[in-house]
Order: sequence, then C-alpha cells, then structure tokens
Amino acid sequence: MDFAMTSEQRQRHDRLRSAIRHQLPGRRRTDPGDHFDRDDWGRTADLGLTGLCLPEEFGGGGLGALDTALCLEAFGQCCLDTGLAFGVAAHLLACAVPIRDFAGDEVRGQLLKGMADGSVIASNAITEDSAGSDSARLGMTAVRDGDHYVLDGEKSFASNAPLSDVIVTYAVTQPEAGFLGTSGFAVPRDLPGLSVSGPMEKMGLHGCPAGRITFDGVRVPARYLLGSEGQGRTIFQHSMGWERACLFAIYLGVMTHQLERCVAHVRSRKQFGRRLADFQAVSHKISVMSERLEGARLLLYRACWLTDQGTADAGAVSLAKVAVSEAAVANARDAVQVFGGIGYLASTGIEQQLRDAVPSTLFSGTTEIHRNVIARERGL
Amino acid sequence: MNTDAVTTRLLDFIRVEFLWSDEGREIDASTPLLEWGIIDSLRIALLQSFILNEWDVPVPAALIDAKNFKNASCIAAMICELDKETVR
Repeated sequence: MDFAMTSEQRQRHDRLRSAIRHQLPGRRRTDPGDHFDRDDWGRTADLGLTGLCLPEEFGGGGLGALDTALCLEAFGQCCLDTGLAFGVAAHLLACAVPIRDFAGDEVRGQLLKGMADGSVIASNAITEDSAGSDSARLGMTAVRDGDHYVLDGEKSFASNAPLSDVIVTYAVTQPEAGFLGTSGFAVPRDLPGLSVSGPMEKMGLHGCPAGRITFDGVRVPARYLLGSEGQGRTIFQHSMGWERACLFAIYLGVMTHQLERCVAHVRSRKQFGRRLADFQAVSHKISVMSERLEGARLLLYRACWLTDQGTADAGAVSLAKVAVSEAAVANARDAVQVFGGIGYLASTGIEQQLRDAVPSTLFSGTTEIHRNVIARERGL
Repeated sequence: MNTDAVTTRLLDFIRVEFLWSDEGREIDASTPLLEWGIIDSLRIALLQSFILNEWDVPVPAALIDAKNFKNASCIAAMICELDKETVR
C-alpha cells in the first residue's frame, strides 16, 4: 500500500496545474447564459484534458482511471470555471469511454481523434422526463430498418448538448426484454430529425450548457450502434463506473482550493481583536472540512485504483461518489459561513462553489440511489 | 448442480424478495421476468448477490442480457453452465 504519488504523477500534476492557471478561463461564470465556447474547449484540448484516458494512437493521453482523476483534480483546483471542467469530464468519461470500449473500429477511428484534439464535442443523453433515477425505463425507441436504426424520443439534461457534435444516447430496441432491452448509440449531431434546444437555466455549473435533444425519426447508420443490441445497460454502467470514479475528482480540486482560501481568510481576518482562527468554533469548522475532503479523496483514489485493477465493484464506486459529492456541498456551505457576509457576495466566488456543488448529489446517480447500492453491498 | 433444483430455489427467492407486495401473482419457470418488469435494474443486483451467496457463482457483467435473464429456467441454465466452467 502506497499513498504517495509517483514522481511521474507528481510532475504531470504540477505541470498541469501551472498550465491550467495560465491558459484556461480565469473567471467564474455567474450568468446562466454564460457558458464555454469552442475557444475555451480548444484550450483545454491543447492541455490534453479532452483525451486523458483515450488511446495514444488517437492522440489521447493513454491514462488509466487514477491518473485521469489526478488530472481532473488539478483541473478543478486551478480552473475557476468548474462548469467547463465538468463539461470536459462528461465528454471524456460518459461519451469517449463507451466509444473507446464499445464502438466498432470505423466509428472509433472517425470520432476518437477529434474527441481528443477538441474538434469534436460530445454530449451524453440518457435522462428523460419520465426516466431520471429510473434510467432503465426509457421511452426512446430505436427500430432497426435495414442498415439503419430509426430513433424516436426526447432526452433532457444533456450536458454539452447545445455545442455538441456527437451524442451518446440510449434507446429501447427490444421492449420485451425490459431494462435489458436497451442499446447505446453514438449519433452524429447533423443527422436530419435531430434537434437540440437550450441551454437550460440552472442553479450552478453555468460554464457547461445543458439542453434537451429531440430525435424525430432520426435514421442512424447501424455502424453507430455501440456494442451489440441489448448491451445498452452494460455500456451505460461501464461509462458511469468511470464517471463516478473520475469526474468527482474535480470536486476534490475545488474543495482543496476552497479550503486553502478559508484557511488564509481565518488567519488574516480579525474580529473582537483576535484572528478568526483563534475562535475554536471557526478552527473546528476548518478541521471538519479537512476531514470530509481527505476522507473523500481516499475513497475516490481507491475507487479509481480498483477500476484500473479491473476489480471495481459498484459499492466502492458509490461510496466514493457519495463521499465526494456530500462533502462538496457541506464544505461549500461551511465556506460561506466561514467567510460570512463576504462569502454571500457573488464577486468572491464562494457562493458559486455552493451552487456548483449542489448538482453533484444529483447527477451520475443521486445520493439516495448510491446509498441503496451501498446498503445492498452490505447485504441489506 | 441440478437445474431443476436451482430453478425452484430461484423462484422461491423471487417470490419472497420481489413479489412480496404483489400477493396472488403466480410465476413459474417460464414466466417472462424482464417483460413483466419483475426483474428491473435494481433487482438484478440483488439477484446477482443471491446467486453468489447461494451457489458461489459470480455472474460477469457480460452475461447480464435478455437471453440469460428471460425467465427462471434460463437463469438456472446459466448458473449451472457457469458452475461447470468453474469446476473445470
């Protein structure tokens, strides 16, 4: 057991943090209509962030889950636009990973290079108005018609959708097979019958635009089927395993930066003639924030390590996901309290971190769904 | 491992764990469990845990498909086949 980064990991981490600070957006996005553009995306691609875990033959970094997570942690720590980091991670983990592992050679060759170099932006579309946590009960259908599938239905909460070039989506192909009758597709955005609306107005993560996607008789060439018919659940679970293990590292980075700011603030600000740090009620709050962050970090690193070993189970990944997302909300709430009235002001970015943290307990499976998984792993 | 005995034990488990709030609903070895929604995305994991605990047979993700989980008879056949592969 070794809790230290290797020198290679340390160097990559330090190099990336420095590059992100210098080259990525140095401003927070507080307006719901203010999201990343292709220039922002291109700069993240120049740093290798859009292809971290894609094969090197396609211009990716060839990294495993743990190394990918370490890079995303640096992204969250050093980029003020958490929405951009989220959008890149969703593109990489919920879209590129299933294409990498389940698409045919032709489609992999067509899409992965562009996904790594930033010229192709991907959106993951599974949620429907009537299928949120119960994501297996999809209404969207895909009917085979010769060399094509005809897709009909509507998806919601699709991150990156308004700017996407390809959409990874899931539809029912065998209704009689219940939740095992779904299939995954990588759908080019420009096919007739496909329309995207948005961006939706959200509470946080403004840098990442989300939208609704309508498939109205979209004829998708059969080569864009991921895996085989009926493998949709397996593919989705596989991509969510990567997303739940790696994407939440962004929040570790955000919490690290947030804690550093809180410590600096309580050491410098004086009230009643004493530093805030000298009030035990304040110093204990910093201690509790540290406990949450470090505990969550260990669980996330472990989930990623297990993923790299090929032995990750749902319980380990769920533990990490819940620990990080709940810590992100609790620490963001405490940070506002530590900063007091200043933390309530949009200009400091402290309240923004709370609004960015809240959705983390909802996407990639709600806290409640993951606690069901954890309880089940305990034999309940 | 006897396929009929495995089927019977599976049906007992499904009746107790999945149909406890659905009294009067009869199922047998050929009941379409997926089509009727008796096995869903949450229950499949419970079923996997049960199979592992009862027969020490892990079900790999690649085998979780509509063919293997169509009904209790199909699930039992898969378990027996996996058990044979383990013994070899």
